[in-house]
Amino acid sequence: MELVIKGCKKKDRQCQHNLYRNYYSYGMSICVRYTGNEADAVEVLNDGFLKVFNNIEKFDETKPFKPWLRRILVNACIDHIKKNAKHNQLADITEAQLEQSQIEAPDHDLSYEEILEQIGKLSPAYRAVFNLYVIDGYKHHEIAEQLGITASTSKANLTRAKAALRSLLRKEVYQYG
Amino acid sequence: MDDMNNPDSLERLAKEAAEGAKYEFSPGAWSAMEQKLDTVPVKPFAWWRWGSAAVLVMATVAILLWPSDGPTQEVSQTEEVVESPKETQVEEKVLAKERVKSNDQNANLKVDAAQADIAENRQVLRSNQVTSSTSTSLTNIGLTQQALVSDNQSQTTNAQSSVPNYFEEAPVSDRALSKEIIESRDLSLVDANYQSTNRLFGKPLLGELPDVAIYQDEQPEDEADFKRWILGASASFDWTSTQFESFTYPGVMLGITAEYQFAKNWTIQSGVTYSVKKYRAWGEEYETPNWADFAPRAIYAVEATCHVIDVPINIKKYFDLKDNKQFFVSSGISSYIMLRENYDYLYRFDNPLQWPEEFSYENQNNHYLGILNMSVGYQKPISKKFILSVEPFLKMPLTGIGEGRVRLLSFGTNVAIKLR
Repeated sequence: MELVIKGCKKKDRQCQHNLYRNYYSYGMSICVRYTGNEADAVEVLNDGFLKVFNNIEKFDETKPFKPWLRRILVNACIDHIKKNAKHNQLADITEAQLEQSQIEAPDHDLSYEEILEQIGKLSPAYRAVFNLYVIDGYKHHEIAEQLGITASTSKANLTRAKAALRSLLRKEVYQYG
Repeated sequence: MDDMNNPDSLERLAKEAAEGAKYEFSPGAWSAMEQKLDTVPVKPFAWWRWGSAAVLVMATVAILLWPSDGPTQEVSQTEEVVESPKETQVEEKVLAKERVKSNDQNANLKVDAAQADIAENRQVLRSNQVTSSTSTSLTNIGLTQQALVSDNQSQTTNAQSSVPNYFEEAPVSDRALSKEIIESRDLSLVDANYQSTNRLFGKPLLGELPDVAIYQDEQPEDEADFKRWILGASASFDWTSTQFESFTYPGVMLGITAEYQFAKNWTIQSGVTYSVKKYRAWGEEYETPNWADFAPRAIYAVEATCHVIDVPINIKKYFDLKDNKQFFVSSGISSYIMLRENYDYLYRFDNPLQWPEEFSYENQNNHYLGILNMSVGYQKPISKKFILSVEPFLKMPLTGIGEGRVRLLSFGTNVAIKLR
């Protein structure tokens, strides 16, 4: 991997391809849960890798590459959410539930990829908070700073995100008449 | 999934899914990535860095060119500062002139007598460190070098019989005295010392002091200034590129220059140079022409031939070597006037929109103080007045050059004939 990174520093296309291929799956697992679908995830993944290749000379190859890549990809995902989210403030949970009720109930045994897709189907505010807190390990004040919300909003969104995800992953389909 | 209500379980499941999810590599995703990589924008110039360098060079030039008094030396306060009376100075000059013009030994004798008196009064020089300012413009160069050259002359003076062995080392005190007298720039003292000791710098002179040494102080000031000017004509091949490793065919560079020596071993140089610059730029390096604005990746490469007038302003520092040879370093700034730019465009595709494949611009772009010059060189005199100079140079852009706003690097080796 050190050789690959050295090659990327020299803008060697083959090394860039190798690096991209090696971390494609890992990167997609991050981007899918933030974007909700593979097409948008590829777009965000490529934006993230562009930043990686443009700034690779600053990377110390004696340090692990994955955490550095992860940070860049998460930031790219957040930028994507901010660009596309209609609401990033506290959202009414009733509305959230109403949105999710129109989605077909998932199968019983979900694969990891499907679980990530379900996470990606949460509303942008919930999705961002859930991913950042639960999976990427950010604290609420850091999330608040990233998303431009308050820490209390972040906590509230997390609670609601969990509830929404729970309902997505259940076998039942919610009906509102 | 039954324990979904357990928040810890949900989080654990989400984390497991994040770590365990596998996505098969998509070649289409890599193609999209490659397109992004191929559209990397040209890095902007670090204007602040190059601008600072330009400001520094100009400030150095301004400081060095700041008007100052001519070469003067402090008068040290001693008890017996040597200053001849005005009448004596005038008399000395007249006598010196007579001696030279007539070339008559009798005249020399007259001078000898007059100078002997002066020499007696000038014995104080042995005990004091004396310097004096002078209104005459004696130059060390002509005086000291010519004086030593006269060792080889065949004429001898009437003092020849008492001249010691030429190769015998003279006493230190004599050498020191001679040196002091030379540095005093007082011709009369030089003459007097020579007449009384027949030595200069501790060595006997086998011939007369050459005329030029005496004439030096009589030269009008404008003639002396003129010798500070050095005119030159130069020629070079010009290798130009947008990167250090992609030079193609060389162009030519012809120029005339003028240098002015404002201090010992320092000159300021300017001139006019005509050069033909040939280079190739890749599409990413060349600013997209207006007809392809909406397709910035359309151009694959550009082949360019540019006819340029280069007006440099350089500061040169010379270092003396043996036999009047010199080594020098130079730095400065140039302005480019783009007389004519010819471009051949190579497109990535078959050019269905019939975009021009060649285009020319005339007098469209000027780049004032936009190129940094650096060079080192070596020169040697090939005759009394002419000097041969060899000077490898490098020109680096401080701004985008030409219609394509490319980073144009040029290097070559100037061969010049200079006239002092």
